[in-house]
Amino acid sequence: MASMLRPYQFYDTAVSICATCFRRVDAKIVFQDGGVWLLKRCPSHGAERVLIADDIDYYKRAREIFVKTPEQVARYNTPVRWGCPYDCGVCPDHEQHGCILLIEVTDACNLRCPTCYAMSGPERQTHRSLEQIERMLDLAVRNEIEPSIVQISGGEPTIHPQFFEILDAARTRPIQHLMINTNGIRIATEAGFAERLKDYEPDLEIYLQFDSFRREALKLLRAADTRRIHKRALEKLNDLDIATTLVVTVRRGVNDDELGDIIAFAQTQKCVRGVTFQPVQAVGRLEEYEGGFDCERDRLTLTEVRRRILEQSDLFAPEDIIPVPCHADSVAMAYALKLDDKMIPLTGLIDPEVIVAGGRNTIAYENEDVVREKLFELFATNHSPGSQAGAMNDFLGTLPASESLAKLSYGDIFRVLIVQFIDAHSFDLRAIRKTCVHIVHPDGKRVIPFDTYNMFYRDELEHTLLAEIRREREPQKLNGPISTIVRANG
Amino acid sequence: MVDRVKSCCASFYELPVLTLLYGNALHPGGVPLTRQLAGAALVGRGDRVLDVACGCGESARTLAEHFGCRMVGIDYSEENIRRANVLTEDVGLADRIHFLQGDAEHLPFANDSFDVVICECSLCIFPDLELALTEMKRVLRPGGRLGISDVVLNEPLPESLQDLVGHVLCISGALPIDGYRDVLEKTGFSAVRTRDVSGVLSDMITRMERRIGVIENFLDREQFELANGLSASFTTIAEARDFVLSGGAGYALMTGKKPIAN
Repeated sequence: MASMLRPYQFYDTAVSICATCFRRVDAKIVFQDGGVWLLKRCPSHGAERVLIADDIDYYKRAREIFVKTPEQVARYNTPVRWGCPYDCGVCPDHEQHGCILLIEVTDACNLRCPTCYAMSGPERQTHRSLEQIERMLDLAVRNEIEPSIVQISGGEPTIHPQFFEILDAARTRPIQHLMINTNGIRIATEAGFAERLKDYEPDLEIYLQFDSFRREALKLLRAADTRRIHKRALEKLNDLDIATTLVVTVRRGVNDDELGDIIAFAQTQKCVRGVTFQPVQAVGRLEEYEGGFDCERDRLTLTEVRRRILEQSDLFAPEDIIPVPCHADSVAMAYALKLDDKMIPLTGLIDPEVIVAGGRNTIAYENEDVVREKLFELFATNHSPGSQAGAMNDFLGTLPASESLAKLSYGDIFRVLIVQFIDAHSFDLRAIRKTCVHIVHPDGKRVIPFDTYNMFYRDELEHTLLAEIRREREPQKLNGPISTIVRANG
Repeated sequence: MVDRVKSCCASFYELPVLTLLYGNALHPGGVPLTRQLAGAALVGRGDRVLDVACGCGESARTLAEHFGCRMVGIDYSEENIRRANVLTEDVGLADRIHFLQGDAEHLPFANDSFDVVICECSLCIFPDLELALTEMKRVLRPGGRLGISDVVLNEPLPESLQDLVGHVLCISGALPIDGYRDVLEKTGFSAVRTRDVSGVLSDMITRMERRIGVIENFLDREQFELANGLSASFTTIAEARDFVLSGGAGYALMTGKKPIAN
């Protein structure tokens, strides 16, 4: 009798949650038909099969090569009691500190985007008080001591009546980079607004919503044709040369064919330091998609976004877009050096081992120091990785002398990031524990991973869904972490 | 004459002894390098992929399974195609892989038929390299990717190696890496990238030496050599490795795109 074979390659077991009831369920990770699939079964809601990557080799590299010893927050604000992911705050079982801390200063917004994970809109007029925001900033500092990046977000943060006082409050604290997450409307339409932003440089970055060049796509994602806003906002930001990242919310079949064009456009904008692509997360107001959000039709994984970038743009080769070691499942990066009119991809020149070994445990910005440092090393030792000899020669050829490297600054680096947020479909507890984009809870007492915040902790969810789940669970009697910190860093 | 060269090369690859020496993948780097090449050419799920000079279909089966793509393999040798079909049937992949006999210089496909074309360790045996590349570009859709792996020759081959290498590695038309780049660009490919993977060549030579060592213990060596017309091999393999290590020859992956606006 012939032996029976599985139609897939079994890779791992996992803990996931049911996308219907959000209870913990057992799962498997398997490779089949070129994809990485999460297979799960909920005792109440049946089986699910979710594509979590369309590139097996990249997925394995992210999990097996780009691995760093987890760096921890300075303090844990919640105990381990109900089990992951029902204890967020950050609890001692989390495996990564916050590389980016979001502070949502308002629920109000001057747009009403169908894609909003925060369900903001003009009908919600709750601005947090300056006092409350200061408490949130203080918590960010207590958790991270010197937070790498604090992102002022919302809602639309620029319409907060005390917006500049919030920036002042942030500036008096030891925050390394301040980011403003905005749709650009106020920058585009209000005379003198961008000029006031300029006063907060250096270490200020505008995180500018920029999804598409097409009216129909913008109508679908933003319920508004924001092209003129983009144009005017960028004119002002270019004039003042305020560091800007274009942030693209990517939805399958809507704007996923424009990624190459957006990268090409970004390179022509003086103020633009990079582009961040974020595939739509299945949370928030998604029922407002035509016919509702359809997991198969509308979801896009990180590797699918990466593949589209590589197909549509000639700037980067596959080895240039690599997992970011602190949260390799969810964040990918590529850096290029801007030299006059030329762009030279850098990430592929550096061995993965070097990136994993070097620098702090954080995404973006500080990695640029690593990149720079490693380039110096390449010159110093005159060692170029064999597989990249061609690219390295191009690179050397464009530099008049190696000392010009010393003049390299933040403005010379062009960065592409892909940030995939985990939702109830793609939920893998192992990956969730490495989440390094954290949201400071408005209570000023907890800092919660972005992914679980949107699933369990935002607004009333904590008192409805999460409370119900907790009621069903047995609180742990010995409520300590599975492991404790055994060594200090540095 | 040209036909004779092509079929000579193709039938040479049919020899069972080569399977013994190389393993199943008849090119340096084997399956891992095939995967690396396909990754560099962005082979994805559901893509239509053509393997030019597919041999017995080892790469086609690897890619269909690992990347979830649909494969077409073409080879000059009828016998290779026959075996490719049998082997593919055996592992239950016949629904997504098709093989046919044909000529790389006259691909029997309509324009814009494929998302990716790969060609492993065979480019340099085509009598007219530019014609073969032009054909590959023709059958690629705009934005489609080409993935080539092949022998790189930086110095003329020493006389003493011509017998062995000329046949076993089929490098009669091998070029320096810039030579390949030039011809890819001349043919109209954009985003041409090359990657030096010469390590796989010396690894392959080492493995051949090891296998020969084992074979010699079991076979009457003289008989073995005569039967397979490889009398030069055993004495010159070490020399071949030295040539590779000194940079005389190497191996490379090359990728390019068919421009979207022609």
